[in-house]
Amino acid sequence: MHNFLAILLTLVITAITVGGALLLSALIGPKSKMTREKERPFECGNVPFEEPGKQFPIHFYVVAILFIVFDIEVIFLYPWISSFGTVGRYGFAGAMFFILILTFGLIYEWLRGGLEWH
Amino acid sequence: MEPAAVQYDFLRWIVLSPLISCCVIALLGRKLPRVVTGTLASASVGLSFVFGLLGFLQLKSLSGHGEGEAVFLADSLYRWISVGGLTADVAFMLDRLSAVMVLVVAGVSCIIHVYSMGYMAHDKSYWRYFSYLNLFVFFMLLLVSADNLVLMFVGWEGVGLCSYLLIGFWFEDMEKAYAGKKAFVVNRIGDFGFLLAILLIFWNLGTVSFGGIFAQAPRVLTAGSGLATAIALLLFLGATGKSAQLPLYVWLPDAMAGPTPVSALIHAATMVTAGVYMIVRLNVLYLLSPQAMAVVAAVGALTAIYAATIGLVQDDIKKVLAYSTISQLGYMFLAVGVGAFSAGIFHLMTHAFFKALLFLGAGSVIHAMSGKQDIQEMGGLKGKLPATYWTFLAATLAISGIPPLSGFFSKDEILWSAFSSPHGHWAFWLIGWLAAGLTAFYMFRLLFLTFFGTSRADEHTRQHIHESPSLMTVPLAILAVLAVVGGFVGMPEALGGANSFHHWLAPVLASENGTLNAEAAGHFPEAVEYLMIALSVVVGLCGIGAAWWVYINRPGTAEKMADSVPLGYGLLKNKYYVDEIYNIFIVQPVKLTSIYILWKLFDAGIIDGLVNLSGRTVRGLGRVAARLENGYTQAYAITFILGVALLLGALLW
Amino acid sequence: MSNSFEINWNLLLPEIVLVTAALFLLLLGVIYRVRAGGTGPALAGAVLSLAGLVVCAFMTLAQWDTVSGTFHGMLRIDPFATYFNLLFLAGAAAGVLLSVREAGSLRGVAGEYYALLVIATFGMMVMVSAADLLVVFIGLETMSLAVYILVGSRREKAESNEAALKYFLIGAFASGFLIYGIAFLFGATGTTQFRGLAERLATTDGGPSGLQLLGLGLVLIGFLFKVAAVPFHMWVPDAYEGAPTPITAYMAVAVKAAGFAVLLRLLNVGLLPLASYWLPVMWTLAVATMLVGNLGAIFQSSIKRMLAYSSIAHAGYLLVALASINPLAANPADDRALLAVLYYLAIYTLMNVGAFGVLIYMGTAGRPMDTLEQVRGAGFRYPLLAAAMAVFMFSLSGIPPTGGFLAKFYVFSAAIDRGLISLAIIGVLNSAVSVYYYLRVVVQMYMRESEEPLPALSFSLPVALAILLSAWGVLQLGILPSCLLDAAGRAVQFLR
Repeated sequence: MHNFLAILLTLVITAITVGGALLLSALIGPKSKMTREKERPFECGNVPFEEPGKQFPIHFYVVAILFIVFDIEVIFLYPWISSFGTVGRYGFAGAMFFILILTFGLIYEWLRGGLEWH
Repeated sequence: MEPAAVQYDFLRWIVLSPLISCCVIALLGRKLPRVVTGTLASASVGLSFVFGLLGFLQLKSLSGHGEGEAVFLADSLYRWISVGGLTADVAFMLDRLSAVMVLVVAGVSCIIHVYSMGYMAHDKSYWRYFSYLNLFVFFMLLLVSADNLVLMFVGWEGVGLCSYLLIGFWFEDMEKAYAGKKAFVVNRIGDFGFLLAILLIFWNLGTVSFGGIFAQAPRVLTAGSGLATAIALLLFLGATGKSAQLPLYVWLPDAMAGPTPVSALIHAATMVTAGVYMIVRLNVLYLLSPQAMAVVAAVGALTAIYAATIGLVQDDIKKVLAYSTISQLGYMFLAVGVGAFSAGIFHLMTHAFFKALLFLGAGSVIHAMSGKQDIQEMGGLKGKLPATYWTFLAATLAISGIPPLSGFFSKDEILWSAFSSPHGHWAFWLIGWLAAGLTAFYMFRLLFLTFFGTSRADEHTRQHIHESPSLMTVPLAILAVLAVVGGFVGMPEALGGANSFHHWLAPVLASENGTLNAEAAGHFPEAVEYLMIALSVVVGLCGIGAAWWVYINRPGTAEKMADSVPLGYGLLKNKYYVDEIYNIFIVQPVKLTSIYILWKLFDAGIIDGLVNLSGRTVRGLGRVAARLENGYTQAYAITFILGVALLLGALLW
Repeated sequence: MSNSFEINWNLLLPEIVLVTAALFLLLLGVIYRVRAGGTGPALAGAVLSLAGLVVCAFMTLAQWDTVSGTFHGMLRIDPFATYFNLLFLAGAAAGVLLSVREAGSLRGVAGEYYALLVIATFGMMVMVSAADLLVVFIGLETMSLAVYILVGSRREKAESNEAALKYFLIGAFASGFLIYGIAFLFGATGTTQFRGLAERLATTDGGPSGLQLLGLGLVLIGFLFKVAAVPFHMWVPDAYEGAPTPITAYMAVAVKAAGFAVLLRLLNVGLLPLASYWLPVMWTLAVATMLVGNLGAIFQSSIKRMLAYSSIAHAGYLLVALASINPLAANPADDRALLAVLYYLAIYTLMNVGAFGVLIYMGTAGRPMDTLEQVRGAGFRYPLLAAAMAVFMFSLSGIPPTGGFLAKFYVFSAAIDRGLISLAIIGVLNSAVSVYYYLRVVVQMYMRESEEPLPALSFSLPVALAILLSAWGVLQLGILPSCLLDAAGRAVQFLR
């Protein structure tokens, strides 16, 4: 039984956290009836001009993903820099290889036209 | 005493010769002239027979004439399977039993190949037919000469495959293609038993080679134990499928859709007897389980009389012969079930002669009748097809058990063993005896309706009636000679014969059976045996007489009889409605379960229901989401979660 | 000081070759496309990826006798890993060969297509060489992400996109369970290394804790999803049907083999002390998987979908072998169940590559043969192709003398060896049912006339080569299986 205590505890805490938040907001929060105004779609305080779900440029995401990739590159390179003295040539080669792979990705993205904004 | 193996290199060629011919015909058959194809196919099987004969003579010279020490010829090609303790070689053995089988199989096959050259002469797929037929002979010889169970199983499956290909040979006809499939599927039920039995044997005895099984079985398995019975019954399940016994016989009548020489070769003389051979081969295992032997004998006896009653009223010439085959196979199982293994093999051999002859004769009749098979439309063929008539008459007399034709000796030995053997029972004898009478009746009904009286065929067909070419009648004549004299090798001692067949097989059968006749003779006075012989002759003559009375002396009696007992007639005419019963209780439930439960309920009901449900939920969330999400994936996820819950639940509690 | 960073890169040479090939394939795709166009890039991609795979295969083969760890015990190269690496490479090479004719319809993404195929294979190699759950996870995700994209690589086709999305969603779901399970195992034992796990699990007093069992269950779910075990199989028919046929073949053989390879190593090395818990699970899932796969296949009119259900059914037979593992066997080479899995997967690879290859060959480029009606009369119009298909169908249904028969025979005899008679009976019954739908293909080819005359087929060397090699392998390994069995026997010695 002792073994299952941890699982039980996890479940209980999860239930308390989620249920508690919902319960609290229901108890404390101001109660209001649904009105026509409240049921209407909301867009920055304005009545929407058109149906949601229209097309938007996927390029936005491509550029954003690229940003994340290089962000992570920096995060990985940071510890290498700070221990540069101890890891030596071996570490240097490793980091260069890592950058090389990313460079392939960059070249690929470039040639594919991922960086062009039409 | 361990049997001694003698290396004999020719054995492989018994099996390989038809295979080589099959490959050649399959690859080049389209371009070769028909004569070359047919001759090559027949010659290759003939070669197998010659090698088989050489092996037989070798065996004979090695072991002397009588019950000498057990010697067998062996030829090993290579090690096929070797895992852990399991080893199986591609190896052949020719002992006294398989020598008999090789000679019967290769001999009858060769005759039927020659016949086929005439019968199939005008078929557009001539080469395809002969390549299948050669492939069949290859697998059949592999089956009978294999030295271990796994290799035997390969042959077992292979002959099933060829049977399926040949039944559905004229696949343009849906019905015929369906018959092929039915045969294959029904046989798989039996094969499943066989495979399980092989696994059980290996698991308990640690070997699959016959030599090993013979040596190990009496040591490891306790006589009468549940395990021995389980193995024997599972093997028997395989045999009931392949040899068309109750309740798995339903495929054989439908199998008549194939070309008639195929029916003669596969569905009368060779493949369907594989079950009998297998039981005799493994007689050591059966003798360890009296219960299983009783089951085998009972199933055989019931099948014998059951199929004989159906045969009484069939109108299709090939269907009559099909039910007759099932009935005769029942005799063989009755024989092996009461421990008379050599009698079973003896009947297997004589049956191969006269039943192949009957089928080939029927083929000749069908050939003459422009493809018609209904005996009600025949009649009066005696004068027009003399060669066919006389050979057919010989075979009919043989199957009816009229002395001194071959069928008399073998059937009589079975009936006597059923009565006198320690495993026997007077009830077995009575059933077999009655079935013998029925056999004589329906076979002579067939003969009279086909060859006697006046022709009932229409004008057009009647003009075309002609005797078959000599390519077909010569094989008939050869088989007729065999059907007449083939029984003398097993002439019982009571009639002054030597019963050399029995003595020849004795060394390969377990010891209990070797003394069977001697024991039996001790129990019963000789007069009883003579009485039995007389009774079986009398019942055959009665059957013939009844048929003569009903169909020749007083035509029309048959109709009157049918009218007076409509219920019984309808039952027989519709083969006890077994196909319908199977359809209702087995085929339809499986089909309906898959359609309604799995497809309609599960797929359409639950999944679609979930889809609709989730669809409604999703619609509430907005059209964007609905467009991305088609709902199915949620159903998948729900199943997934259900699985997770079950799995974790099972692990944790 | 720097010695602690020494890593034996030589062991990873095959993998490095693969990744390099993949990187160049990516570049080749874009450069060639910009300069030229047409079918050139597709062909160049096929040649380059094939070259990479072959070089990699030779290097892997050279490692046959190597038993060594690297990356501080995170990776372990031994004959078990090498056996499966060769199997994956063969599967990938078959995927490339089958793709050549299809690649015309890839519309300028051929480079990426082959690159992803190679990367997925790299992921599998990492998976099976891993000695640590986290490395397994990295390999698994590398493989999975690449395969998700490959399933959707025919972007102009709605069903391809749909299949990819479904596969991805459920796949991500399953990966979540896997990593959650790894976390629990780590929490319960303090390690993610296979050997460490085994030691700690074996020394837990008073039986395994709930956390350990929870971890076991969740980790199993992650892999059971990949091998398409019921009830984690729902994605299979849709994904197999929607994916381009060469990718379907690749998924059916390599992804499944990878899943089973990791399961074997995990169950036999890391989780062996919990055997009494996972053996019954495997038993139950084997029965359910065989039943659902075989019954589902009966009413399919699409051969591709039928093969999808058949792939579920075969996962069931393989689970029978997993349920028959003997945890107490002193020498794993004596455990027939392990050997059976390795032999089965190799034969299964050949049978499926061949069957899918025939479908591709009989169709036109980009539109493989699919429904049962379409193959009617193929036995006479295309005798060689139909004969090959018949061999594959017979092998799939386990009829001798094909490899499929021996494979099933080993699995069921392993079950009998362990006294699981009822499981073996259910298995044999199931394989009897399966004859019905495999044989139906043969019936359609040989026993029905096509309504309209079948068109002449254009010759395709790569596809023909794949079919020919598969057919030869299925028969050769069915009649003379010893060389493969010897290799498998050596490989399983390194389990435990």
